[in-house]
Amino acid sequence: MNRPDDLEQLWKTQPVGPAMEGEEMRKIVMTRIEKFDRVIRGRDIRETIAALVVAAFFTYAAWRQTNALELAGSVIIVASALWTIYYIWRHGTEPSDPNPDQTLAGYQRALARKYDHQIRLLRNVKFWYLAPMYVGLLFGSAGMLKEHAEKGTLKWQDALGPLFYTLVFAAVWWLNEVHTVRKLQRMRTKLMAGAEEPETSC
Amino acid sequence: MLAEAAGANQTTTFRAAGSGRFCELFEAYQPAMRRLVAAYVINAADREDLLQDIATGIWKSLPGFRGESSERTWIYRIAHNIAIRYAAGVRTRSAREPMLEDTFDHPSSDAGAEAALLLDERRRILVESIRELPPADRQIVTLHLEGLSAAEIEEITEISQGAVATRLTRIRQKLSERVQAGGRGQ
Repeated sequence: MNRPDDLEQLWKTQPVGPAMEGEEMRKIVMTRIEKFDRVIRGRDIRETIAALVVAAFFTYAAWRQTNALELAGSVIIVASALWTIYYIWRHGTEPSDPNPDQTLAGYQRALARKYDHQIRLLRNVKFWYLAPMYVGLLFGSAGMLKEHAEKGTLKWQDALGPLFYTLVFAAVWWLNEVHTVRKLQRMRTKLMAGAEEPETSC
Repeated sequence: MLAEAAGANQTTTFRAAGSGRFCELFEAYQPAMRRLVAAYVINAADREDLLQDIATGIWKSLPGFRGESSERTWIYRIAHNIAIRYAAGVRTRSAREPMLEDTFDHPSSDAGAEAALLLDERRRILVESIRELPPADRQIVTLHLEGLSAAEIEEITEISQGAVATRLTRIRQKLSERVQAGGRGQ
């Protein structure tokens, strides 16, 4: 039988590795915080620039269009790119982390809410990001196909463009709504395992 | 303009004072934090990463610390919450990865070496068994093994002292049995 303090002694005599100076850790912490902020800001700026480039390109394309379907497609794409920029700056930033200075049950609930929020955002990607742009591209492609058909120059290669962007959009959709959502759900389940109060998943 | 300058001065003063306080706290609680991370993650790199996450949590929460709870309970609460979140996100790694103590020297005599190996084995089983507990039980038992009183554990977990005592009896029994069985070369 173990003595009453046996476990405590075993626990406290664990080798824990070399000690670090407080100042050294403070510098690491500052670097981590700055890096995190830089990554988020960088991501938002990159996506905004990409959306601006898309908007500028299709504005120019719309200005030169004579085909009504292609014109409609370009206008939809420009509008969706501008909407994306608005959405990124209005909703896209990461929700702040819950304060860890609370009870375990409170912290788990706060984190679960954060995960639910992220899952909701990812599930909505198809509505605010993919669908408008995809519909715009479909309109453009339909216009192009119609024009080729009217001129009698329709070829099977004309289907390659729509096929390519459909695959790209499907991959983006899968990455967000299937892969990342599943990963977040796994983390949420693991986090809530053994929680004091049962929670309902989103 | 003057008010702005005064505000900036206050922030700078706070940051300087906060930096000093942070360094003191980190150095004082570092050994306990390092033991705590071992109860959540196996891999040495993950442990270091988690320790940095905890330090970041303490740094961010420091301006909000009003002294309503003791410094010790405040630190442990932050550390456990961040560790639980980290453990939920970390991918499962091999349970057979070497423990830190594998890199330590052992006494050269046969009897001494055998005793040291046995002690290492018992420690490994204890830490592994704690890691397998549900989060709330893991939190209670590590706080207890760090020497916190039932009242302090209640302050951190909001689980009543009576319930803490009941759980501890059950958990300690289970841990003792596993350590004992492992120590006999199960």
